[in-house]
Parts: sequence; structure tokens; C-alpha cells
Amino acid sequence: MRNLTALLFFGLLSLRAAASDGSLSLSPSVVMLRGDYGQSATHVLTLTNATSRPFEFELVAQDVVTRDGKRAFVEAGSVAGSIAATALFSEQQVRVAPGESVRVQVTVTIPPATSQRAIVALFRGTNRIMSGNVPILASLGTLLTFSVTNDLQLTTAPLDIHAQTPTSNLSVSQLCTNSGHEPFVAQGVMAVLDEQGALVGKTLLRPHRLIPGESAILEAEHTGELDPGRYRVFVTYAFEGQTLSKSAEVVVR
Amino acid sequence: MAWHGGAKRSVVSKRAVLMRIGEASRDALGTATLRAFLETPVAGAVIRVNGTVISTAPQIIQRHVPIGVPITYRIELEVPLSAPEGPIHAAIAWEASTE
Repeated sequence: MRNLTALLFFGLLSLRAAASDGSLSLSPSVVMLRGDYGQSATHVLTLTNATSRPFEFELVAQDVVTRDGKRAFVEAGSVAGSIAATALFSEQQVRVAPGESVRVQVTVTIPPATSQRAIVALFRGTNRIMSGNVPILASLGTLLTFSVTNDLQLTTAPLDIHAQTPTSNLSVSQLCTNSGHEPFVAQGVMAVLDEQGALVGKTLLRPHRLIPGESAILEAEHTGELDPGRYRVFVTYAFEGQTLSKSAEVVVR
Repeated sequence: MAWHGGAKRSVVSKRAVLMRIGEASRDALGTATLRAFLETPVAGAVIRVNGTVISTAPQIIQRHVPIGVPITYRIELEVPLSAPEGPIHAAIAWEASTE
């Protein structure tokens, strides 16, 4: 079994609605894998119960697909080339006592020639807990993405400029679509230049992960007040070592 | 056929729940997708979360939920007046997955 290279985000995903006396957390929050078709990878997911109640979970994998530009979750095996269908968990069910953690290994294999690129490994709650007088169940999932080729494409709609007004700053928004075959995180920066080409301000756009076929609106707001005049707004996106720039002119009266 | 326009046909009970995904933070620490579903079917009643009717299949309630920031969700329970009397047993399952 060959190993995929992995980039892990050791953030914590936790859910606090389940219990007012603590939280459940799952780590890592996102796993980004790179490899070839047919390769397998094993990762350890750790769920920590910092509440005062025991929780029980079953381990489930689902494919993350896009429909009409938005993500959707589908049962393992219900799409061609399902990666979730290859997921093997070291435990099918776990019980986590208060103050304890459990570690579960998940092994996934990228099916040959699949177009799927993301799954969610889900700790699905199976025991009810009470939130006030409402019984609820709590589940947490970690996203795993897979990159196989170098086919990265970001396409954008025209920049939507929201002019500065007496009550709002200049802002831009743009519909961005991952039109390639691989997932990536789009990071962007908005630069505002005056008529002489001097930099007036720079604002970072919030990074956004896009799986193939997914669209999202990325936004940025200039943090200062612009003097009347003509300006050029540049938005530059960076994704997996590639860049894409768009610009538009704006007049502040 | 009799006309019952305007007559009350169901009662709706509403409740707001405050939920936070992740440790408390002033700024969002990434985003998550929040889904909800019913543990078991609920006969004779409709349950909505933020206007989305939920069933035993997970429904996306909100995409790009900021992690670390509390958000209020509105739960509605609609019961037709024609429904038989008795308690309604429903457990809402919440799923948060990173994006």
C-alpha cells in the first residue's frame, strides 16, 4: 500500500449545542491528500468529549459532491467512483466517556479514474441527550479532500463593485467557480490603486475551499474612506501556486 | 366540498436555539456545513429548522456557518388540528462538517 501525501489542518471542530457543560471536538478538522488513483491513505481522527455526559457514535463516510454549484452529501456508493465506499474505519461504533478521547483510524482508497474528490468522515451520534426539553443528537464530520492531477482551474464572473457611499465603504464581490478537476483553497487580495497607480489600500479575502464544480461568492471590503476620484480595483486570487487577477474601475464622488 | 379558507388548520410551536460550532471566537475560525435530520419519522407533524422541513434524511440547514460564532436557529413544530391527541416524540440530529 502506497501512502498519499497529506496536509492536515489540525484545527478542532467541536459542537457545543449538545451540552451546555462542555463541548465535543474532532481533530483534524480538514485533511488534504495528494496522490494517484489506486493509492490508499490512513489517518487518525480524534474525538474528545469535554462534556459531563457519555456520547456514542457510529462511523460513517459520505461522498461530498457538487450540485448546481453547491456541495451536497451523498451516501457511500451512490455515485460512480465513490471514495466514501472505500472507507474503512478501525471501529464501527465508539463510546466516549466524559473527559475522554477516542482515536479512530480511517483508511481510504482513490478508485481508478474517479472524478470524486472529497468525502466527510462522520462521527454520527446515536444516543440522545437533552437540550432543555428537546432531545437531540450531535454529529461531527471531518472533510477529506483528494488531489490527483494538476488540472486546476478557477473561473470568475465579472467583479461586482459596491461603490463607496456615505454609510458604507467600497467593497467587491465575485462569483468564483472551481471549473477544474481538483479541489483547492482560493485565497485573494483586493488592492485599490489611485489614478497615479499608487496603492491606496489592500484587503485580504477570506480563504475559501472549492471542490470541483463548486461556486462561491468571495468578498472584500476596503477598510478606509476614499477621497473623491477615480480608482482601479484589482482582485488577485492565488490557488495552489497559480494566480488569477481581475480589475475594474470605480469612481468615488 | 366545503370551503375552510381562513380557518385554523394547524398549530405551530416555535423555539429558537442558540448553537455554536467550535470554541468561542470573536472571528470565525473557518466554516462548516450544518445539517439536521430526524432520528425517527414523526407522524402527523412537520418539523422545520430555519424554514427547511427536516425528515430522516439529513438536510442542509446552513452552509458556510462561521466556526466559533453562536448562531440562532429557529425550530418550528407544526401539528394539524386533525392530528390525534398525544405527545410527539422527535429527536433532532445535528451534523456539523468542516468545509
